[in-house]
Amino acid sequence: MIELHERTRRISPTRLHEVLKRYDAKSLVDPFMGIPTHLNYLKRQGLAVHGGDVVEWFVRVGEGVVVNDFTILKDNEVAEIVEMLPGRIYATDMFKAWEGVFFSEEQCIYLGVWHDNVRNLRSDGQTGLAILGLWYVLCYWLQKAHYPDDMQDIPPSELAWNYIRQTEKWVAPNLLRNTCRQADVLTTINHQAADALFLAPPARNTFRTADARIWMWEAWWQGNPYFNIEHYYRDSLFGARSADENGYARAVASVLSSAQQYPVIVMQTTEQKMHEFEGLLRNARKNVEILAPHPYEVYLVGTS
Amino acid sequence: MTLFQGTASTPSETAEAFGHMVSLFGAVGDYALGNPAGYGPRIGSLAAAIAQIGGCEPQECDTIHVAGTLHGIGALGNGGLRKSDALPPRAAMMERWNIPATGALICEHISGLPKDTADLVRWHAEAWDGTGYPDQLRWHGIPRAAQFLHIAEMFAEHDEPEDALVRIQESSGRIFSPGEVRTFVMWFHTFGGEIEPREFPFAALTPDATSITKVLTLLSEAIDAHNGTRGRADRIAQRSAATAALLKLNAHESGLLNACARLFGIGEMSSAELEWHRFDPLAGLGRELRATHANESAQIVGALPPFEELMPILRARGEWFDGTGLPDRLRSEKIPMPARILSVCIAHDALDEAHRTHIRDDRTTPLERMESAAGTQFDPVVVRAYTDALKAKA
Repeated sequence: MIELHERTRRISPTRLHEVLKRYDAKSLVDPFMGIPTHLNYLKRQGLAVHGGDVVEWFVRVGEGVVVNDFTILKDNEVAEIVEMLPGRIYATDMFKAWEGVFFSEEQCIYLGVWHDNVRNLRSDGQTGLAILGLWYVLCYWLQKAHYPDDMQDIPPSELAWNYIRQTEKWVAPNLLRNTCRQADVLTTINHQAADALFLAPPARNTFRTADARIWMWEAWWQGNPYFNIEHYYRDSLFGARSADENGYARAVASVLSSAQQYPVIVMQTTEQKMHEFEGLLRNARKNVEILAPHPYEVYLVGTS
Repeated sequence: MTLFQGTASTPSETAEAFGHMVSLFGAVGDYALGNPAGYGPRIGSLAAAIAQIGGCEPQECDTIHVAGTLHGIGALGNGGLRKSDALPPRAAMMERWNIPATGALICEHISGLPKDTADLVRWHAEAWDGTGYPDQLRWHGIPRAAQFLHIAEMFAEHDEPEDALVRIQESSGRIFSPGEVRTFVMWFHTFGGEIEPREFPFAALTPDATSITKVLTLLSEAIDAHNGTRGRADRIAQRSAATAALLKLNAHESGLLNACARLFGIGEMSSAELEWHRFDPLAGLGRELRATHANESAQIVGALPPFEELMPILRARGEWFDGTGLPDRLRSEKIPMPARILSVCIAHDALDEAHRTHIRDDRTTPLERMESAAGTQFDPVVVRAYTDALKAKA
């Protein structure tokens, strides 16, 4: 059974929105966006949002709930994702390597079918929504392995149907241009202008501690159960310098120094790690305000 | 009476008065959401009971109870519910997702609530799998206490406890954490699905000298935001206070009048439009509607025992001095003095607003029209005092 992280990164978009309102920020760039549900919230509140990440499926989901303004998956389209379509040949053994380790035989077959079906979707928006919906299924299955008697046995196609249909509710336009890119932090920062830059930097050695659900879903999207996201991070600014504390600090400092065009920088961290970032931000910005509504949620806001 | 004067002699009295005011805020929030009376305290009690079984500390249980009472306050003024903007269903749904965050913001403005109340209000609608709102938090990012509140809310939505049990168990791993569902099931089998009302945890509150007044002001602002009448309660409270001073009302009556001036708008919350948008404030035709609104606010406020004193005043604000008003056709002195003052202030404010926005006839000033209704709709003594108060201020 795979170990699932107890505590994952908590980003509260409502709180972030309250912080941004204080500084009258109408647009935001998040170069470490992760699963961009927070950007979706901010978009719905009328901000222009731009996200970036090195992991591809995050970006694909961003195309579904951040970039996409109108496209949803209708009932017949969801049906074409969740079940095997007659006349199509599927690589049902694509995820056989996970069988008996993480998932059952049936689940692995479905993962293969869904992979093929999602890859055949017509638009980026629909693909993103399907990836997000199916990710909830993956999480449900992994959780169920931990709580076999507490969680219902739901047929895979029904579970997938329910979750994919749910993603539709997050699709909304804000009449602004919103973007997501698969890129390293510096590329994202330099290619985009906005009122505020939101930084929730990955912890040191992230690739070693990454939640299994994250790398597993990237492996699913790539169609390769042995796929490892380690190289994504290794090749990034942080991956290359995260071996020691000083290297990590230098990486954060270089991000901050590249972000001079942003009037406001909001760094989210925890009370425990606040001291690591505060000094770096003070070096980069004249004024630093600390907003600490919760020990797990501390915002350092730097302005010129 | 400490509650309506905003002062108290002992800290425990202050905490109690503050707690009542907070409960009223919660009740009005529930009313805006269309929940039955007592809904908030019910889910607060249930969530606290589940949390107790789940091993939470008594203080945490108290916080959960308070957060349960206040869970719906963000509904006040919410774009998906307020009367002024009729949004398409999808946009209204998205607006309603903001209710918890707005509620949390209000909680953050109320000093004296237990720590973490705002967080629980903010996250009580989050789902374990990340499909909830407003933050789409997932798994252990959601505080356990917020999950207990969410479970309690789902339980309270069902008429039959057994149905609720099945629904909550089905939601294990999706809306709720499996661990918290297990705790709920333990509660269910221990208490047979019966919610035992829990006394409001006054001791958990730490109000300061201004907290009670502050909550009443926040509540009236929220009611005004909901009705689209920003600043109205404040104006009416100020004018009624000046009139009451000229009429030499005692401190207790003035306190009641102030509270009523800030709360009478509750009755209008469920209507599609404001009273004066539909009928001229001096027209006999509007009597029934005014009485309905007056009665509605009296019912909501009076349902909480500490506020019973406000009930006759709120109910009688639609009465006419000559006995032809509604709902009880009270006449002259039978109408409580604060209600007579309140009806004058409300009517003049509406006339003033209509005059300012040119909705009504411009040939006579609002004050002239008020004077013409003295003796029939209004108490002439009150109208004179009101006019004097306004002139003195000018």
